[in-house]
Amino acid sequence: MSLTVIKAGLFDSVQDLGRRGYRALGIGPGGCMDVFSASIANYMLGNPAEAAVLECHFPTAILRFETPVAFALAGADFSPTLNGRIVPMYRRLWADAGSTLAFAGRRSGARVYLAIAEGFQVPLWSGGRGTHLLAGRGGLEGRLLRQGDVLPYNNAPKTTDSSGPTANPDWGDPFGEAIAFVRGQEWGQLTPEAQAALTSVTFGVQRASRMGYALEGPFLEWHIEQELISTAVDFGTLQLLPSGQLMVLMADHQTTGGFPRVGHVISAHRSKLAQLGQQDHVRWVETDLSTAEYLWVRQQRCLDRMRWGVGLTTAL
Amino acid sequence: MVYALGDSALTIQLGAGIAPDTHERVMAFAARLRQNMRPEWEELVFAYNSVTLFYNVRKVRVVYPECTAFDTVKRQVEALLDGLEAFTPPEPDLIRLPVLYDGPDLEALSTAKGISPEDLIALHANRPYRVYFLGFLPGFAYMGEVDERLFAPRKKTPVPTRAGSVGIAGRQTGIYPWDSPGGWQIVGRTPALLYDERRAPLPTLLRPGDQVVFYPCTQDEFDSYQSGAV
Repeated sequence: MSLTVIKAGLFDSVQDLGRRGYRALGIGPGGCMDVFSASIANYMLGNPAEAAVLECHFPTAILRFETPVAFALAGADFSPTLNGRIVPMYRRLWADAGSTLAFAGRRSGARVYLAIAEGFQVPLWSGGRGTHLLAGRGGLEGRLLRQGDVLPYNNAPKTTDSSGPTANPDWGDPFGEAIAFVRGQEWGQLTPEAQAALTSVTFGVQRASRMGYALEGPFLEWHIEQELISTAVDFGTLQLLPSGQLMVLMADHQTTGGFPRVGHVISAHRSKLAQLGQQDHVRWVETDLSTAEYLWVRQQRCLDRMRWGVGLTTAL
Repeated sequence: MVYALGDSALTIQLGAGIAPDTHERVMAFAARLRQNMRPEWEELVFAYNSVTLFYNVRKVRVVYPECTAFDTVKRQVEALLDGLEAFTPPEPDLIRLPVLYDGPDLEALSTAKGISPEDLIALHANRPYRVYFLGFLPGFAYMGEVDERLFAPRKKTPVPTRAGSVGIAGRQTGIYPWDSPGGWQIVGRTPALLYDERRAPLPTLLRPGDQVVFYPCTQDEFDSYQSGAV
C-alpha cells in the first residue's frame, strides 16, 4: 500500500490544494503550483480535488508501486513511462504490483502531478497535507522526497482498467500564451514608460522556485515614494524590487511583504504561470477585475464538468 | 480605504503608518469582521495598518450575480467600518518571555549604538511590545516599538538564524520560531516555543494585539524552561 522512491528527483514534494485559515498565523496556503492540473489528476480517479498528490519537476523521481493501484498524471509532459512503456496523461491508469513509473524526457511544462486513488495518506499539518518546506512540516516529513522514501496510499479496489476517457484540459483561455494581471495598489508608482514596458516587453524567467519567480527584463523606473510598510500579498503578486526587476510570488509566498505591488496575476492564470520554468519567457497583458473573475469562474466550471464526466473526450 | 489585492482578496487600510492607535483600529475592525464572517469569506490577514480579506469569488457571485465579487465584498466591508470608533477591541493578553541575552549580534549592536551590552539589554527587556501581526514564517510576530536608541538596520545578506532567536530590525523586535535565514540583529534567544501544533486553540504562542515583555534569564533557567509554564 505504498510507493517507493527508487531514485529521487530534482524537486519532488507532496502537495495538495493548500491550507486555509492560517495566513494570520504566518502560515501561507502553499499547496500545488498548478492547482488546475492537480485537480484534473484527482478528478480522473474520482478523488476530491484536495486529495494529496505528488508535485514533480524534471528530472523526476523513479517510483515503484508496491501494490496494484489506480493513478493519473496531469500538468507538464515529461514523457511518462510505466515499466518502460509510454503511458498517456490525463487518464485513469492502472499499475500492477511492482510497476515502475519513470519520466523519459521533458517535452513541455515545468511541473507534473501524480494523483493516486484516494490520495497519498500523509498526516494533516495545520489543516493541509502539503509540504511547508520553510517550516519543515507537512507532506512527507516536511521535506522533498529522497531515495528510499515510502509514500503510503490506500488499497482501493480495481474498478476499471486503463482504457477510460481522457480529460481535455482546454478551459477556453482567451489570452493564448500571455499572462494576464490586474493592477496592484502600487501600479501608479511606476512611471508611464515603465508601465508601457511591462505590457510590451517579453520578460525572462531568471529563477523559478516555489516561493517566486525572479524575472529579467528592462529596468522599471518608479517615482520616489515613501517607504511601503508590510502588507498582505498573494500567489501571483508582482513585486517591484529595488533592482527595478520584477518578482512574481508563487505558491510558497510569505503572507506579507514590503515591496510595491504593481500587479497581481489573475487566479485563472496561476496554473499557466506555474508551468513556466527557468529560461522560459513571460508576456504580460493587463485586464480588469470583471474579466479576471469571469475567467476564474469559467475555469472552475470546466473542472466541474471533468469531475462529473461531461466533456471528456474518448480515448483512441 | 478599500482596494483590491488581485481578483480574490481586498485590503482595508485603516491608517497611514505604524502606530499603536492605528493598530487599535486594525484590531477593532478584525474583531468586528470575525463576528460578521460570511460563508463566502475565507480568511483574514493582518498587517501594521491593514486587514486583508480573502473571499471565494464563485460563492460571492452565486449569491450576488449583478456585479463583481470585489464590489459586493467591498460594500459589505465598508458597512462594517461604520461606527468603528465606538467598537471596543478585546483586552490584550500580556505574555512574559525569558531571554538569554547572548545573541551573536549583541556586542556589535551595542558598539554601533555607543552603549554597553548591559544597557542594551536594559533598554530591550522589561517593557511591553505590541504584537502587530504574524507573517514571514508560521508564528513569527512583528512587535514594536523598541526604544529609539536601539533602532537597527537589517543585515544586507540573511544569515542562518536559530529557532528562538530574538532580534531587532528597524523599530521592530521579533522572534524566529524556526531555524531559517534571517536578516534581523540577534540579541538573544528564548526557550519559549513560538509555534507548537499541540497548543490549543491556536498553535502560535503570540497573537496580534498581545503585549509581550521580555525578561533576562540565565543559562540554567533557559535549559530548564518548560514551554507552557510561563
